[in-house]
Amino acid sequence: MRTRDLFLKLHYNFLKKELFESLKTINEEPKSYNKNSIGVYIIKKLSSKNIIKQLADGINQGFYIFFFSSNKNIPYRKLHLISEIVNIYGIHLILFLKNDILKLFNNQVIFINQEKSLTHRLFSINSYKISFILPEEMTNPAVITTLKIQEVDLVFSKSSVVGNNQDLANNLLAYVLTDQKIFSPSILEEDKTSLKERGKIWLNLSYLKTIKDNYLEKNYNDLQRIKTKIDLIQR
Amino acid sequence: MRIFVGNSANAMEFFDFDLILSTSGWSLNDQSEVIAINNKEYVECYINRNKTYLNKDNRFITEKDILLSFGFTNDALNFEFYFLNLLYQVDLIVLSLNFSESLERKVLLHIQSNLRSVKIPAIIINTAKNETTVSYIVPNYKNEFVIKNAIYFTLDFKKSKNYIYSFGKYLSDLKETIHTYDVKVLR
Repeated sequence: MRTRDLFLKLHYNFLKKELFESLKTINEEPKSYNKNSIGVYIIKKLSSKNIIKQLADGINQGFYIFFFSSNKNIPYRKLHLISEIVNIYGIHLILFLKNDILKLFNNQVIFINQEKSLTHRLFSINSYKISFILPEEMTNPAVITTLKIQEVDLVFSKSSVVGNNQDLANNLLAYVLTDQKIFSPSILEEDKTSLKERGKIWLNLSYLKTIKDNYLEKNYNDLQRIKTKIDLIQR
Repeated sequence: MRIFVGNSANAMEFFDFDLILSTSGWSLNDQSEVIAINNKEYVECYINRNKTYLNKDNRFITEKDILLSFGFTNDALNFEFYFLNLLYQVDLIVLSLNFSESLERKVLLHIQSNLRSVKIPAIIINTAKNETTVSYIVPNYKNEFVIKNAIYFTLDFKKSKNYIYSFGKYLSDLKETIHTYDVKVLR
């Protein structure tokens, strides 16, 4: 434990100048801030110096979600350090690694796996709801219904099956984001969906909200029927 | 089960239907055992001349051992409706919709995705302005519909085996989520 702490301390010392300088560049109000959209900032390199630069850049543009994907895993020490840095900036960092999905926020490293229930995966930013799905859960109707009732707006998916991701986006009337592609519900016009440039994604939710307001209605009777039925199912 | 979908006038040249889904607002008596006349938010249903109304609170009828479920415009994009049909082991969904022409094409893609996730086929009756078209979708990954935007069609529907799902541990997640929703409603 001690050597690990020592390593961190040394590293902090090394990064101190960088951290302070980057914090100075962060404005009180983001330059552009889009209330009707969720922004996802793609981080390309996870070196500590690079991440400090990109976090400050993203925050200034109104991003709260940062995303990094890799087909490798990250050593524990490095993860610890990144988690500390992320905590300073108060943003959500989502990591798609070889074996794991991780969410770093508020001094916590959260593993998204089957043990993590759908209720505990859900988080929200500006009242938009965001969650995660694993490949083996993609076609499970109970999972889809849970996400639907939670009214998620964006799902991070680890599945690489194009058809399943598109179906999920349609089922939920929500965006599905993989490390390769953005899937938007078919009902959206192409130009109304999202803006993607150099790793900065803005997902427009205003048109989707209009569709939901006009064509979706909570049917309490149906929900009650579902509830009664699933209470009868024995596991 | 022999099903006719479309304008009842076109049904006259055929015989022996078990179910007529009329899009014309009328149908002759005795053309079929069950006659369902589609309206905007409900379906007027005659079972051996006994009249009932099907709507979002009363969705189900059984004919020849086949369980049918009726859905409407607000159900088409709502996955909860499809999940309900899965739990009830519905054999065939009938959707009676009012989507504009420009939306219809895209809505059909959503319906297809929803049907694939619960593996139930559906008959879709859409009225845009004063024109009604009918479609039939079976859940598969081909990017085509069996029948799309026709004026009428007949169908020999056979009951397929219902899928038995095991939802696994996610059933408790769903229970929990529906429960919190309950609390919200009561408030």
